[in-house]
Amino acid sequence: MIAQNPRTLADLKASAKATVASLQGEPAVQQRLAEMGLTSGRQIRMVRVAPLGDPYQIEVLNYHLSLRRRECECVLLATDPA
Amino acid sequence: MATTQATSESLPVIALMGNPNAGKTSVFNMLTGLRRQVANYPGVTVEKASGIVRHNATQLEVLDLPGAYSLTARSPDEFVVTEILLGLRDDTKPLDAAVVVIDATNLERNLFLASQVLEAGLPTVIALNMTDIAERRGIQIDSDKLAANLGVPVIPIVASTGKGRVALIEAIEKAIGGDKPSPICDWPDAVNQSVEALSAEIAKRNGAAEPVTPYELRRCLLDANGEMERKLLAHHPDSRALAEFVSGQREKIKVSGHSPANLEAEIRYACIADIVSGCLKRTPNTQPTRSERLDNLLTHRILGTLIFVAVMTVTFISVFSWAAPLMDGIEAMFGALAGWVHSALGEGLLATFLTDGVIGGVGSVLVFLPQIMILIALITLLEDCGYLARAAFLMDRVLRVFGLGGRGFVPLLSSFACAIPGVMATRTIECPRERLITILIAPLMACSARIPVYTIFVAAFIPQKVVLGFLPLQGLVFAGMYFFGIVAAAVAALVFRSVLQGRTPTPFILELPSYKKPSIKLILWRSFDRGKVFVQSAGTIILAMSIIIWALLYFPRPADLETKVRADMQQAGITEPVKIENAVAGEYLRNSYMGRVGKAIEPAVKPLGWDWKIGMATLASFPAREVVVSTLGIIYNLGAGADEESTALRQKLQSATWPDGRKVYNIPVVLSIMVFFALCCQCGGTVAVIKRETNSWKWAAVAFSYMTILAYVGALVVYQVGIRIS
Repeated sequence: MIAQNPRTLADLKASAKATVASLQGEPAVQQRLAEMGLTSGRQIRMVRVAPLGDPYQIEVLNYHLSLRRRECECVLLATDPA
Repeated sequence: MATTQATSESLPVIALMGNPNAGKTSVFNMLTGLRRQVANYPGVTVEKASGIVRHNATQLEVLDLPGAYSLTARSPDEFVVTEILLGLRDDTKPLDAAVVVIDATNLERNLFLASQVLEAGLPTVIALNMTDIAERRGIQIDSDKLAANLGVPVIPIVASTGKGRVALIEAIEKAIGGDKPSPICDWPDAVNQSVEALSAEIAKRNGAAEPVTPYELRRCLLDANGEMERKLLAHHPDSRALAEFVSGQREKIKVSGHSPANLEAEIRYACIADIVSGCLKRTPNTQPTRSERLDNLLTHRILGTLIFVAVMTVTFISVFSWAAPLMDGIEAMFGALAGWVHSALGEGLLATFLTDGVIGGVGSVLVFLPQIMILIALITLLEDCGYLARAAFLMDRVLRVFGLGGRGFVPLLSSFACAIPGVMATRTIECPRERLITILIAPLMACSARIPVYTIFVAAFIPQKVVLGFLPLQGLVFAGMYFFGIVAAAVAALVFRSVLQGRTPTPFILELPSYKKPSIKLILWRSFDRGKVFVQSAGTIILAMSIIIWALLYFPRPADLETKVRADMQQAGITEPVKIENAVAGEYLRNSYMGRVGKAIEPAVKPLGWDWKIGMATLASFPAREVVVSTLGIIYNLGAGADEESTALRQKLQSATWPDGRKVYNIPVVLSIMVFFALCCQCGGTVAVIKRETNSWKWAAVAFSYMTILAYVGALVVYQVGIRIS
């Protein structure tokens, strides 16, 4: 478990929940993701992956949002307290 | 009309703002009673829609601004919204108040935009929409408490039924001229200091140039590569030094680990959490909601895909065949009208101008209305109930290969029926680059106007053979032409993707709104509205083109030409009036300006294997490609009535020869013609609609030129390769 790459939203399994730690990548993409509610400490849930493997459907702030894998990789997740 | 215009000059102006899916259009319709005027803001694709609110003695002008999640100006289009809000546009009067429409089922996310609007310094009213759906989902909002926390009035409404209309108008009236709201969020000192530093820096370098507000400076600092930064630097004599200063200040703004990119959202969502706590209660869901259960089905790997195929098939069939009887009806009506005018006025210039030029032209505009209105109605239905977002979700992966997005699927599919409604349907694509590429490639889809062209040539020249034991060759060639259009569009998309890369990429962010019952009122309204926009904006262009082409085909008309043809016919012993009439019409056409141009350009079309008759018929069909069939009919003395089923026309084509006796048409020539018609932008309506939808002649010209060049090159290659093989 030690020295693992930080888990991003793209690694989250369907129906799993997690907490946003921070964002990375292009400032414009970070800004848009944050505006949609993906701020640090936010609870999010992976709802499903589209039949062709991309994009993803997530739940944030009680609404559903679809992001591509590339954008999901910008969302770093907090490691769950074991 | 004139009086309304005059009074609206002095009316107070309010703007409607809100997130996409917040029901802004329904609120606009509720306030104005469905009447609105549309135009484009100069230079951008943002549609300028306005209407008048009338209530007792009150009259207000309402601007319907495009839906936005945030005031971050990432594209020129989004920037317009900010400029209007701040009263920086010369073409728009400064606002007297802002109304932010908020989806009650999605309060926190919707409050993000509201919190930004509150900082613009305008009296603001919050319209809390869809309170009925929120209630049904167990979401309770204490609107009085929310109003107290926000410091502005919050009016619960249900726009689809008109509930809360009077209360909302009264709140707006009261707000106009009243106090400006105070911002609900405090900016950290680091941000304020940078704003001041930047202000001082600009003053130092610029002297007493136009002052820049703290709001604009803050946007410039927070939105890296945003439009505000671009505007500020563009007006600056020493833009490089200023750009360095701005990025230096951005480095300084690192508050508790947050970069300027996401600092704003962190601050705002923290404030929003404080504001809604105590006025928002949700009954916790132990079971998945109805919307989630529907999603399980509609985005299911197998069932969801099957349903998607079914929905798209119905959409396609409806545009393709449901519109057909209506289109036939419109054509028959205009045909009858032309016949009536003809019999009332007899022969002559005026009668021909009215029947062939004006009535034919108006008819060729209105004939598109059934397809446009049916498609827009269906798309609004799918969009309003929430399915369109799911369709985009399912198709995104496929279209991304070509630099497009999921939302491009429906417009491209519709373009197989007709590119005009297809291009109009691209409004649902949020990313400007994706939308532009979709618009540019949509006309390559094999639209229904290509069918008569393919039909006549396939029927006349492709042998009725069966290949591989069961595949009819004619059908195979027909299907091949469809496939060819798709491949050409895919290649064009890939080329445009790399050429247009300089534009800022927009991340794919697609809200999947909860499913809801679609509003019939909205569907009908949008369908009529888009129909009206088409007639107003594209109608004049199509009509003008029709009249010009008519004139080029009609003039000049020396009287001795007819006398000569009649004498020749008499000498040849031909007495049937129809044959004589057709021969006269054919001679006039061959002698017309268009005919002369056709002969003049023969050297240019000869490498494609064409004679001047094909060249001229192709030229005459630039306003509408299907015209080529009837033009060929006139050229070959069969009259304008010849259609793609005409065996007489087929025989004429099969027996047509060059002056030296060689047959004009052979397989390479036929393929070269079909390839040309598959690729060429021979549709005045499409050009007009691209101009309207991109709000620029530039992109209309790009679409027209690239397709025409592609068509010529494609036809050339096919013919030259064809004759060498055969």
